[in-house]
Parts: sequence; C-alpha cells; structure tokens
Amino acid sequence: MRPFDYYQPESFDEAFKLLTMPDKVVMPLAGSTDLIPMVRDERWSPDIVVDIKELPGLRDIKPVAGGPGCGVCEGECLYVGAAVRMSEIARSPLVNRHWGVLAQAAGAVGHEQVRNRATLGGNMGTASPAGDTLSALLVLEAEVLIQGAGGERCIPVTKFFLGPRKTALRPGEIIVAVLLPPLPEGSAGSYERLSRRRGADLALVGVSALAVPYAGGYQWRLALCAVAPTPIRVPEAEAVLSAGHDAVSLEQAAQLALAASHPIDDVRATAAYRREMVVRLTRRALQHVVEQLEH
Amino acid sequence: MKGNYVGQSLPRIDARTKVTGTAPYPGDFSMEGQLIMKVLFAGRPHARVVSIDTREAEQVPGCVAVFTAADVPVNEYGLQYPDQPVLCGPGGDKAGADIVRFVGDQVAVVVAETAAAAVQARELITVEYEDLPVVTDPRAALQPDAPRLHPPYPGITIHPELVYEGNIVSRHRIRRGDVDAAWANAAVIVETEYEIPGQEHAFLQPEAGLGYIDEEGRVTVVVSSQWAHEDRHEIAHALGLEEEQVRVIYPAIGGAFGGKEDMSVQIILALAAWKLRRPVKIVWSREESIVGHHKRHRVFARARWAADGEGQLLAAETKIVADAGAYTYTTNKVLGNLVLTVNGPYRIPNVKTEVLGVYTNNIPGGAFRGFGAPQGNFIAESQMNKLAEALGLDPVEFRLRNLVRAGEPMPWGKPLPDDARGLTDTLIAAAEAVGWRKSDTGWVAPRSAARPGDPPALQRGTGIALGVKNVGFSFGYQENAWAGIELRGDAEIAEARVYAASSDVGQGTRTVIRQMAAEALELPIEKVHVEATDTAITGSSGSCSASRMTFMIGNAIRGAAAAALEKWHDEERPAQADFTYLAPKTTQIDPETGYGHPNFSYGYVAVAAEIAVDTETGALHFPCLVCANDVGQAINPRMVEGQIEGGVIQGLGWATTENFIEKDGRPLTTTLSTYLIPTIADIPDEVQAIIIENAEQHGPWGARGMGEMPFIPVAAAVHHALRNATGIWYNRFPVTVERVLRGLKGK
Repeated sequence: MRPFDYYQPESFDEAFKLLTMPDKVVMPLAGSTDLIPMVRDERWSPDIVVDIKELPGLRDIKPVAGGPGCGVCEGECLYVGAAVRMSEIARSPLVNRHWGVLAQAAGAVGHEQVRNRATLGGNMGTASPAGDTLSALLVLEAEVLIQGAGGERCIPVTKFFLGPRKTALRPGEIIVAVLLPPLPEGSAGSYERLSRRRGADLALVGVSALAVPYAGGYQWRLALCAVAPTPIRVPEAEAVLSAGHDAVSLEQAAQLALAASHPIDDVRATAAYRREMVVRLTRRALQHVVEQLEH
Repeated sequence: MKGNYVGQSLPRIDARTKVTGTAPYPGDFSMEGQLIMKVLFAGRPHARVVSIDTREAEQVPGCVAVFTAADVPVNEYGLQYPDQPVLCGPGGDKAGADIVRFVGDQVAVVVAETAAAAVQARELITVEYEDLPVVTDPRAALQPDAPRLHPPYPGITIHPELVYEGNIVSRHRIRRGDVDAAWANAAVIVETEYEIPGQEHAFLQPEAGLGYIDEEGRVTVVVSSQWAHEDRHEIAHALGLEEEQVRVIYPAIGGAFGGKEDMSVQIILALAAWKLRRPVKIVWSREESIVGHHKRHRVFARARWAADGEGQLLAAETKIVADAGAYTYTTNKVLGNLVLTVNGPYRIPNVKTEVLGVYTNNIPGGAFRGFGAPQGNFIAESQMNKLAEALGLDPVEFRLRNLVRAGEPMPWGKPLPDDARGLTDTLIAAAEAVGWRKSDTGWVAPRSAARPGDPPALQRGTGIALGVKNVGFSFGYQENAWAGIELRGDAEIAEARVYAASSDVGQGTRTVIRQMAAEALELPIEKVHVEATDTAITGSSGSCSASRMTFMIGNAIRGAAAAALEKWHDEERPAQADFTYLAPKTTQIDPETGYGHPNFSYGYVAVAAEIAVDTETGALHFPCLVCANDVGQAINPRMVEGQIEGGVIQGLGWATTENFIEKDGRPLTTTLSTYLIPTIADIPDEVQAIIIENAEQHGPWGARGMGEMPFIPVAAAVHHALRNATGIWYNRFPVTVERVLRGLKGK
C-alpha cells in the first residue's frame, strides 16, 4: 500500500488548508471503509488524507430549525452530520421518529463491523450507484450541506449525484451534513434491498418508498438504487400512487419502476434478473408502506 | 473410551494468543536485513514464453535479483507427478517448462530491498508470449482435436490410475456385475446430468513466508502448509539439495482446508534465500492467493441408477469428467476418493463407474476438505433421493433398506473394515432431529408446512443425505506417522516434551496431541509440552489432511509414550523415545474393476437441512442444519463441535453462494466481495452437532477421523430440501439467488 500523510484537523480552517494544498492529491476520510481498500488496491493514490471526523458538528444528530441557505427546510429539520456512522443512524431514536426509511437503509449497509465505521457522508461521497442510503435520501428530499474554503452551500440531494462515483462536490469541498425536512405525522416509509447473501454484499436492487399525508390523501415518493448510473426517483410511479394506492396502482407503479431502470450485467447478477427484482422489490416496499398506513 | 483428558473439552492451547492477536503467523515473521519478494504471474491461460528480459528490472534501485526458469536447478514440481515448472520460461532443460498453462503460473520472482522496489522492478520485466489455443471445458479437452496441454508422458508408471493419455490425467473404474442386463428388471430408473462447481478455500490467512539460512547452514522456510516434510522434499528436489540441507517450520496457520497442500511460496522462498544468502519475505494478497492456489475440482457427471419394486438398488452407472486444470496436483488421489463415494455405502449388485480427470487451462483442481468425496456424495445421495421419490418411498426408509450390512462388500468388492453401524446411527439421528418419525410402516418424513407469519412467497422443505469417507490416503500407500517423547525429571517425571510434525491449521491438533500424550503418560496435563512443528527436530507425521491426523498421531503418541515410560522405568534420564505408527495394510484398486481394499478406516456422517425459499427473489434461508457424525471417540468434544459447525457452513457456502467464475481461463471472482463465503448473517439459525461414538478398533482410544466428514453431505441435503420446497431438482449448484429463481421459472 502506497503511504500517505494523515491529518485529523479539529477546525474547518485547518481542514480546508489541507484540502486545498496545491500539487497534492488530497482526499477526505470519514469511515475509511471505501478509501482504504481503494488505496490498498492502488486505484487511488492520495498524498494526503484528511480525517474529517473531529470537525465541529460532523458527528451530530440534532433537530435544527431550518438550515442555513436551505429554503425548503422550514420548521424542524433533522441534521445528520456527515461523519455519523451507519450503526448510529440505524439505532437513532431521532432518525427513527420520522425518517425511519433512512435508518432501515443505513442498517442494510455491509455488516455490523462496516456499519460501525462507515458514515453517511462517506456513502454519499463515494456515490456508488448501489449505495444503500442514497435512495432513502432521495425520497426524504434531503438537502446536502456542503462546505469549502470559499464558504458554505446547500443543494437538494437530487442534484448531488451526477454519475458513478461522481458528485456535485467541487475540489476542496466536503459534505458537512444532510438536512432531512420534517414529515407530517402519519408518514410511512420502507427500504427493501436484495443481495446475493445477507451479510456484507452490495445491493443488486434497492428500493425506498415513502407516503406523506397530503390534502386528504398521500403524496408518494419512490426511489431506486443499483439499477442506473445514479440513484433515481421514479416520478411517473409516484404520480400513479399519489392518485390512489390500490392494488392496480401498486402494480402499475412497479412496472413504471422497471421502465425507469437500466441495470447492468456483471459478475454479481444479470441485468434480466435485476429487472425482475426491481418489480418484485418495488411491490414489496410499496406493500410495506401500505400496511403501515392501514395500521 | 473416555479418560482423564481424552473426551474432555479442554481449552485450546493457542486460544489466548489467537484471541489477543499475538499468535505468530508466517506473515508476522521478519528478520534484520530481509528482502521482499514479489511474483510475476503469467496472467494468461496458455502461452509459450518466448523470452524474458529482466535487464531493466535489475536496474531499479533496491532490486537485488530477478529469478527466472533458468535459475531453478531442477525446474519441476508436483506432489503426484512433476508436471509443473517452478518458474515457467525458456532456459532450462525440462521439456515444456517454457509454457504457461494457467493464469497463476509463476514466470519470475523479484527480490528487492523494499516492497515498492520489488513492485517497480516487476513492472519492468518484459516477457514475450506467444499465445496458444485455450481449452477450459474438460469435456472439450477430451476431443481428439483439442490442444494438447503437456508433452507426452515418459511412460513410467507411478500410480496405475495416472494414465496421461492425451489430456486425460487419471482414470478410475469400477466394474461389478452387469449393469446392462439389470435395466430390464428395474421398476424405476433415474438418469440425471449433474454439474458440480469448484470452490475456493478462502482461508483467513493468504500464503506468506520467510526464507533464510539457519545457524547450521540449512535453507529454512517459515510457512503455513499441511505437511512439513513433504514441503522439505519438494524444496530439496527443485533446488537440487539433500533433504537435510532444507528445514521447514510451521508457526500458527490461518486455515488451509487442503489449499495449502501444494506448493505456493515454499520453493521460490527457498530458492531466493539459498541463492542470495539473505532472509527473504513474501506475503500474498488475497487476489494473488485466489489466482495462485488450486481449487476444488469441477465435475460433470451423468448418472443412471435403477431399483426394483421392493425398493432394492439394482444398478448404478455413473460417468464423470473432472476438471484437473493445468497440472496434476493431487487429481488422481482426489478422484480416487470420488470413485469410492459416488456409489454411496449401498448394496448395489451391478455397478459401472468411470471417472476421468482431465487437463484444461483453468486453475488446477486439487485438495479441498472432503477430497473428492463431496462431489461423489452429491451424485450418489441425489440419485438416492430421486429413486426414493420415484418409488414412493421415504428417503430414510429407502436408505436403510439398501445400506451395506456388516461384512457385505462395498462396490470395490471388500466390506468396510468395521461393522459400519455409524451409517444407520448417524442417518437416524439426523433424521429424527428435523422431525422424521418411525411409524408401523416405516420412516415418515416431516411435513414442511408454512409457519405462522410466513409470507405467501415463502416455501419450506427438508432434505437429508448420508455420507462416508475414508480416513487417510492409503490405496496401498503405507500410511505412517512419527511422534517422539522426552521425559525429564529425577525421581518423578517433572516434564514431558512431545514432538510431532502436525500442522495446526486451526483444527486444534496441538491441543489434542497434548491431551492424548497426557492420557498415555498418565501425567497431569500441565507437565506436557508440545514442541513446534519443525523438520529439524521431528520426523514426518504425514499430512494434516484426509481426516487422518488425530487417528495417526494418536497411535504414534501411544507407541512413543509406552517406549518412553519403559526407558524411564529403566532409569534413563531424560527418557527419550520415538515411534512410527504404521496403519493397517491396504491395497491399490484394480484399474479395470476397482477391486481392492483401499482404506483401513472410514468415518460416517449424515446431514439434514431445513430450507425456506423466497420464491419471488430466489433467496434462501436455513432455519436448521443438523449434522450427526460418528467420530469413534471425541478426544475433545468442543473442538469436534467446532469442526462440525465449520464444516457444514463451509458446505453450505459451496452449495449456495460460492460461485467461482472463470471465463476463458481467467478467474472473475478474485476478491472476497465477488466470491461470497457465508457471513455470520448467512449461517443457519441453528446448527445442531450430534456426536456419535462407535469406537474404531484401530483408532487411538477408539477415535476415527472426522475433519472432512461434516462438509460432505451438505450439498446433497440442501439439494433435496430445495426440491421438497420448490418441486425442482436443480442438479447443478451453487444455487445462487439468481439460479434458484431461474429454476422456479422453468429455465
């Protein structure tokens, strides 16, 4: 493994000085479950690695009243720091209060040892099409709080993922937190995923579904991962479900999810199998939400 | 026979060091002034090495040497037949040594002051290849126009089954009665084609080692493998040295499962240390390990079996083609066990079996827990479950009707050496544990009903399989094991030192050796110390494989203890004695009929599996796996349970998620994120280990071998359970989620 210099700054100023060092390959590190294997396999060659876990606020889970620069976050949002670990998210009473679909997705990442290291910000920064938490963030319409040497900005998560391992982060920027907008009482969500074995395996398909009470009915949101270059929302299916979630609409939504998917063939599974699983897992996720709504 | 120490679940002697992370594995050893070695693998499945230019590599600062074929004194290696070059390339006098035949063939080794320099130098080696036609399907390799992978065989008979005709490495046959005359009398005939996968060992610790010249001038390697004295022999042969000039030491070993029987880093480490007179260290990555060592044999089989209306077996005709990969390794011995297990432990009057091991350009097939028995067992037990179903008989009932009774001949013409009651005992124990019940009309299988809370897509089933396997290699080989004991003290024995070259691959052999020595010497166990496995201080105890070590070393310890105690009573101080145990005689099996007495002892085992199938996704879940194993006498029952649990879970991985994919001779699953062994989240909700103890007459304190047995029937039991859950016989595995679903869709 090629050696690198490791820093653990405690202030943003210090961090951004390191992250913008000229003529150096500098990479941020949070859980290191992705970075270390990539360096070991000589696919990444950082000169400097900046551990961001000790930066102020990066390990917080807390209710906040709106986010700086985030217009949509009116009322009480949930702030989840970028360096919060998956195991903490999965067990957090705050996350589980309204945003349980994210807790479910975080609890599906890797296995217990990985979840004890891997972070939400890392999962986002890696931007694997198969990242479990990403489709959950899409249906929660999260805002991404980003900071760089030039200041802070906030963008909707829908604009964050640009392609496999490509994000809207500019050089020297890091993810600070996500802000989860409030959800009304009576909302229900579900994350379904399938892999070749139960523990420590990438999702072949992941589906997040969420129903939010709205104007006497529900506004539905549906997102998929591992079936396209980025996690995707499926607005066509959402429209059908929001008009009424009877058995016919559920089936139609599952088919629309399929139409939106473009999975690949690889050593893990064929595209044909993944397509079939999109339909079945979407159906399951929707049914789980409906069961909660009827409860 | 239980004693003060035999039959007691004492803690392992290495438990503390392993749990605290201080146990020294080969990769943990370093010496002052050591060099780092890196291997240049062929990376292509079949090619002639036209030239190797190392000049640029040698200019890299820190690069000390680059060794190629021309540097290896006797450039050949092979446990059964030396058909593999140590390093592939031109410049030697060994015919065919300039050909690479699989991606993991070693072409050059670089030795440098640092790992970085070694890697850089390796990149600067220029190898000119002339690619040759590739054959990866052993059935295609049998065709007359298939590329021939090895030079013609010189024709000296080493083992009668090693035939080397075209690409055929080995042939085994059994001929008994007349199968062709039997079909007409059959009430049912079951004919099936099976495809049985290879398997990667995925031991925790990839290959690693340290080579140096010791204080007595011996070239010494600290490595992890399974038979120290065989390593020494192979190293001495390739380096053109006397065995006394070579020393092999085994420290803690992070698993082997047969995957460390053949040479990986042993010879090249010794070569570099001998030539450079400096310590040399190598540690393989996981990918190097997966490419660089052999796999379980892939097998293609066609089986046609028949039974009469009374539920008695009439005939079994089975033809098998096994993928030996690029080199012989232990193919002939693995397939020898396959031929003994492929007809099961059943009374079959008419048997016709043919087993071929065939060269291809895949990674070689070789030793892996069960050593051919799992493949044979899958075929036999699947045929039995299918025949029972065709006859409308319960599969337990059907087996009990057909099991060989004491003294009845097996398909090779001789009976099992004991009364084999373990077959019945293990079968019934496993069956009852998952709900089989005996009624007035015979055994009745449990009903696989839905349980409260089951989603509609879930289907449940239960399956069963029975297994048998020989203890030791035998087939005429005089099985032997050496042990030495030194008693120190004055009036009373203050200390006993036990010497044995047994490889502690994780099974706990050193703990068991200590227990058996304390028992034999009638000493408090605190006074007994087991010395290191080191060829400088021990004789050969043989390989830690074939479920043989406890049986063999236990007898050797008993002999050595008796001799040492006699000397002690004769006032010798210290009293030293050693003893080489020779197992009962066996014979080869006849190349045409299979007739013979190939083994002196067998182990018996049955597995029952409960499965739950998600019919919408193909995902499998196992509520319960039961393994009943006749171990004769558990020397350490807790460690026996550990072997059972580990064995059945490894078998479950082979049956379900472990999908080793090679395309055109190139492995695609060279990481543990693409090649999936079961995790803690994938194991059954419950693994029930049932220890049965029918004493083995020749075994120490009645013990018989058991290390491989629990693995053997798992795949067949899963296959049966899946059939009962889904109505489908898959006939090939691993039953990955995708394959399960394809089957459910009738594809």
